[in-house]
Amino acid sequence: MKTKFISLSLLIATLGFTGCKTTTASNPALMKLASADITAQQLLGGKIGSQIASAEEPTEIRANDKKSRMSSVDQRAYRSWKKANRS
Amino acid sequence: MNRVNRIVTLFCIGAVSCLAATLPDADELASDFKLLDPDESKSIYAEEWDQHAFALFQAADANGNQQLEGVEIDFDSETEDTFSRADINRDGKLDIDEFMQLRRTLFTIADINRGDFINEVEYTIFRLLEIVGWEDHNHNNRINFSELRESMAKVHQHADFDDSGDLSAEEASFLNAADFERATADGPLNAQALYALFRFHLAGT
Repeated sequence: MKTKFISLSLLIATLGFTGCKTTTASNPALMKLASADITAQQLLGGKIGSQIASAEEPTEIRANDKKSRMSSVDQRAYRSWKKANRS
Repeated sequence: MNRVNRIVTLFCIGAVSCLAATLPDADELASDFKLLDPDESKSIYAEEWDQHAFALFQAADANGNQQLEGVEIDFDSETEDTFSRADINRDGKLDIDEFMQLRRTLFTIADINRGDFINEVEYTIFRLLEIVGWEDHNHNNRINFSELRESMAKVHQHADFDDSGDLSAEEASFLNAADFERATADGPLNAQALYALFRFHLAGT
């Protein structure tokens, strides 16, 4: 009984530890951004956002837009969104 | 009496400090600009803006359901209104497309001289107007120079804590030292001088 309990505890601890490690390692840059305080102003543009006249069609993302080397973004997820947005 | 004066002085200094925290200072602006300009080209292109917006969305989406909900945003009345208008399908949430569309609109507003990128001066103006508001008389979601003049008057009024009509270096901490020197070369930093500084940077005149 005692052995089963210890095994179960070890299993739970291992799963929990592995889960945490996976989340952190999958995208450390994104986690770093997530840990910062993201304010509503940052997201929605503060008083500029509140004074936008009306909804606009999104400006098309041009093929010749400068490529960014920003490393703090999950590039794969972003490209996936961009591809879906174009189709 | 001396003690009262000291208390009043300390209160005023504290109030000025609080005010200074309201508008971002030059160092903060420079450091935030760098975050959006990782290749240090001194320009934020639409692609860079979009990538940063995407990262913001992912970071704010606490439960990872690819939608921003009210509980994930620390609303005030202004941002709640923006959220509602950006929520095109009226489901009470912002999905990634709605959010990116809003951020692209903000990009076009920030791109005052229509160069298809945001330079450091435009970024500074954008950040200041996020706090004090802007003028868009013709409702085209663009800032022309006439509207910029009025918007800069708002910034000036907001920063002019002692209501002197001129900004001290401390009140104008959103300017770097070189710009403050340039703006005050011919006299005190009044609203017109502040507008003239930004116009010079944007249009060269």
